Amino acid sequence: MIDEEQKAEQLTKLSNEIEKLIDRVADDVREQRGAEEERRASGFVIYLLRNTENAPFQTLLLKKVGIATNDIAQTPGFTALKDYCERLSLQARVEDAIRPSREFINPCLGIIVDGWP
Amino acid sequence: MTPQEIANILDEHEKWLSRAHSGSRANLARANLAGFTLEKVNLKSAKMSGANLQKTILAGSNLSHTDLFCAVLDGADLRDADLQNADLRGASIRNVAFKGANLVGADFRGGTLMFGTDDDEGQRDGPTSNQQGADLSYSAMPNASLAGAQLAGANLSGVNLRKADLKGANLSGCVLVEADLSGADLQDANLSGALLDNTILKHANLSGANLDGCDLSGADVTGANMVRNEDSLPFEVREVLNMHYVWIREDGRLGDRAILKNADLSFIDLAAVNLSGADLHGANISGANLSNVLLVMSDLSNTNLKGTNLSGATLEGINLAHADLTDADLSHAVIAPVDLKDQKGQLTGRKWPANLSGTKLVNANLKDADLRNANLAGADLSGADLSGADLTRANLTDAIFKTEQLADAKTDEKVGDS
Repeated sequence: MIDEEQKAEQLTKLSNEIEKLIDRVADDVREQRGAEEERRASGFVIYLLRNTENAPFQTLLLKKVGIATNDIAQTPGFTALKDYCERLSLQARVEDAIRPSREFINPCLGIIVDGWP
Repeated sequence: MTPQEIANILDEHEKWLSRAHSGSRANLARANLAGFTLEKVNLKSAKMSGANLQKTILAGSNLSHTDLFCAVLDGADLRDADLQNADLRGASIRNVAFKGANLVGADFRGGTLMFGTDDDEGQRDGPTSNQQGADLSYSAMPNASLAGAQLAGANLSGVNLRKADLKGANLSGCVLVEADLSGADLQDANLSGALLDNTILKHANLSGANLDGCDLSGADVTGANMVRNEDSLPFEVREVLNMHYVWIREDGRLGDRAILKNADLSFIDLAAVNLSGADLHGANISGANLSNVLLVMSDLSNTNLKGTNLSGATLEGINLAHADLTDADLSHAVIAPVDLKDQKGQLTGRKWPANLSGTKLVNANLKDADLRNANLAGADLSGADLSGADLTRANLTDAIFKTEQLADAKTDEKVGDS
């Protein structure tokens, strides 16, 4: 049984977390214009989302509460980020199959911002 | 995902591709297709980002314009597959069979992975990984078409790229350690900063390729065509050459004589150019194309001319003392004395012979070369082809050669082994 309240609460948290990425993308765009050694972004950037323990957010935990990537893509936070990225000629999308390194067996959740020079 | 589900998706996709009103674009994003046999399927423009395609057989399949972003393709069979303009960014592509695959315009660039938010202490992590390009190490890509492919930063260690078409491909910063690129076409490819340790580039076409920052000392470039055009030279060097061309054209009234002591002119294409009177002492001109060049009365002493093509060049009165011409092609070159003129351009009757003293001509091709009056004292002619060469009045004191090398050469008298 999916607890709708728990799902809504989790989506709100994720939405807020994703909205914070607007500042992060703004910083990275600024750095991109600066000296080469300061640049973090290249090609595409995967922004991993953190869980409460500061670790990458495992997709499995989302599925347990019935959250799909489409649900995340419809949150106000993601919509705001997507709109912001579009103004910068960048494209944002939700990706739930990120493996940050070989140590992670389960896929993690992140936002991909594509279109960096 | 069951085989029937996959078959249905493929059917719907085929319909979608045929622009029928039915059907839908295949969405196999994050699908687990590991080990499936999907030979000769049409997945053109399908969405397969994050899909697990480990050891999947996709030989002969159409994956052009397919979204394979961050897909896992380790050990997959992609022989003869069409991957034109496929998005392979961030994909894991170790030990994949790409023999005969069409990868024209495929995008293998890497990206950046980082946490989107600061940690509890407000610290921002730097990029954690994946800043480099795709990992294609130990993949088999012989005869693959990779023209214009974006492979910047990719790990291509141990990859078999024999006879692959890499024209105009971006291979900047690539790791090509122990990669086999024999016979590959790398014309106009960008290899700047690529790691070329134990890389095999035998008979590869590197003409116009950008090799800035590449150390070729550990690579096998036997028979490779590595000439680069003048545009690839630093601005200052191009300026010096331009001023020299003016100097020649204006008979010394305008422009300046080229002084390019110790300059790096390796693999440059200066065929049929008039560089007479230039000072190139100590320059690195190895592997260059100087065929039919004019270097009358030029100073090329102590230069590195290993493997340089000087066929048909006019080298009258040249100073090549202690230059290294190992494996150079000097066939039909004119290395005879020059008739000196006075300031009014009148012949003085004096002749200025070419100086090849102490020159290394090991395995050089001197077939039909005109070496009349040349000073070859102490020159090393081991293995050089002197058939048809004119050595009349040449000074061969202490030169290293075997008598039989002179069997078909024109000499004043028979000279013994030295």
